Amino acid sequence: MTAIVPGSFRDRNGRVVRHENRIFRTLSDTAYQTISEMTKTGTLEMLMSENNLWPATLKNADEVPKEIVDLSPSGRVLEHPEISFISHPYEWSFSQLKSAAITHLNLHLSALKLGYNLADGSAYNIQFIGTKAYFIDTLSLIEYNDGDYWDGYRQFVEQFLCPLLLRCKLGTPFNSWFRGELEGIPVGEFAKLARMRDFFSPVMLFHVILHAHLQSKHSDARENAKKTNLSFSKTKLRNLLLSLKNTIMALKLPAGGSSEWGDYEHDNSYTNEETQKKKDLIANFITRTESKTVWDLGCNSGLFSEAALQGGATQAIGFDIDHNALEAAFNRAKSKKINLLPLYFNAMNPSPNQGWMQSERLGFSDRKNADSILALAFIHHLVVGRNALLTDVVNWLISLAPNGVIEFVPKSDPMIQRMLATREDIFNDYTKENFIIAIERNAKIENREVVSQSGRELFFYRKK
Amino acid sequence: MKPSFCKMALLSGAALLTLTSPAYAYLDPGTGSIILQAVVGAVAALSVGFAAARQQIKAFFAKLFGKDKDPNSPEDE
Repeated sequence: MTAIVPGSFRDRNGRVVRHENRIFRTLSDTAYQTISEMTKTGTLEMLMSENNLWPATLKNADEVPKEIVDLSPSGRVLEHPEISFISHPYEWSFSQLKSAAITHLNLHLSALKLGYNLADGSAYNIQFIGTKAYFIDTLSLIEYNDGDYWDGYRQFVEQFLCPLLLRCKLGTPFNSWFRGELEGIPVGEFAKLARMRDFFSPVMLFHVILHAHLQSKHSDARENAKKTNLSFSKTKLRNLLLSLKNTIMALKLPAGGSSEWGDYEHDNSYTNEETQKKKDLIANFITRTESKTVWDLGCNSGLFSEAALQGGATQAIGFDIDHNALEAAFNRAKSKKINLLPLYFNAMNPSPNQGWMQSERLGFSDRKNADSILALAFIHHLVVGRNALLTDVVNWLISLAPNGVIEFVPKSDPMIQRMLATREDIFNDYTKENFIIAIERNAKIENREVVSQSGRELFFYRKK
Repeated sequence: MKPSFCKMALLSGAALLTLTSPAYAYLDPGTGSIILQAVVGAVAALSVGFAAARQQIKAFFAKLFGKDKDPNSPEDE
């Protein structure tokens, strides 16, 4: 089946097309000229090998299904390796967005050296494979002509810099605002949050406050700035990129960001032996089910994602609501070089299908690609913490993948007792019996293991 | 809606036509943002120069004390 990827509608020079499991990019005549020039001069090759440009191969018409060639005005197409899970910038942690920004700027700097500019500055052009960021939009590379500006500068500021500054300077996570706006945090809106001290911060003063001021000043009289007497040059563009890079590299998370979950690994309800047993059980299940992709819901610092990868999974995607836990998981993945992609996720309000025609950015459920899910010490937070019905939670989890592990935490567990300390226990449906009935309605319980003294129990199931 | 919307639309349309490679310009760069690029491009020469000098000084001392790689040097992930 051939399907045009909806999110690629903006660029008139090419669209992304999926054909079975192959990913193609159509090329206009102009795009084809640029790409073939970059191929001849070795520019593409160099950016792919040294600057995390996602691989792209120029294909002849006879190497590609006819329906794809028919969609391409130049009769030639690019082919990319498939990225099995597309994540959105509003699902990334601070460190991920920062790493994405540096990758974007590094690619731009190298391209500029080779005589190319970038047409945009979109965070959606970056995708993660584990912890490694790649620039995926080959057609963003355009010829650089003397005096050219970077048309994507404002977009870069709104999709990278403002969100990072929001977290770094004001301590507020960017994810909800970014998701709501979709195109980042508008510089004009962000500038309204500036405090007196921000006028003394060069990055806030220039890229945000002055930027917003100039934008509103010139929003009415739209003289073409390219025809004004402002001179611009390759050196100035390079300086702009370098200063952005230096600025972003220096951004750090605000100190003292302790959270409920960030220290989970060192402060949890398990003894070391119990944790090891839990890890082994999970690794064995992943091996037995031959799961390649694992979704870890409530992944925390990624300890059990790592166990799943040790059990033979090739890719783990972690989901968690806690920003510090996500940072910890990202650090784990980086330091241990494992293919774990931790993402911000609120189970009570997962990423929806949104954007143009509500199909530009796919939501959580429409990106299902897991062979197994892990939901460890997870469901009581939805039932006891957020009033979701136990049956709904189990049905939903089972709908996500063919196999899974769900941990049942009994009401007598100190964690649930703590949750109930300040509220009335209205959760009569939260019982092990109901939990088992709910699983067995859709799946077969393969085995179950008690993993803690408090009676926490893992249930391993396969869908019927 | 502002009364100058039509004028804006006409002007931005005209602006698009004057670009050298119209096929690529699918993004409105924004006049204010372009002006700011010129400003930052000029001002950043100072900060970039300063950062480069700092790197060189760091590298000099790192070499002096036998460290062969500066962990803060610009890197790719």
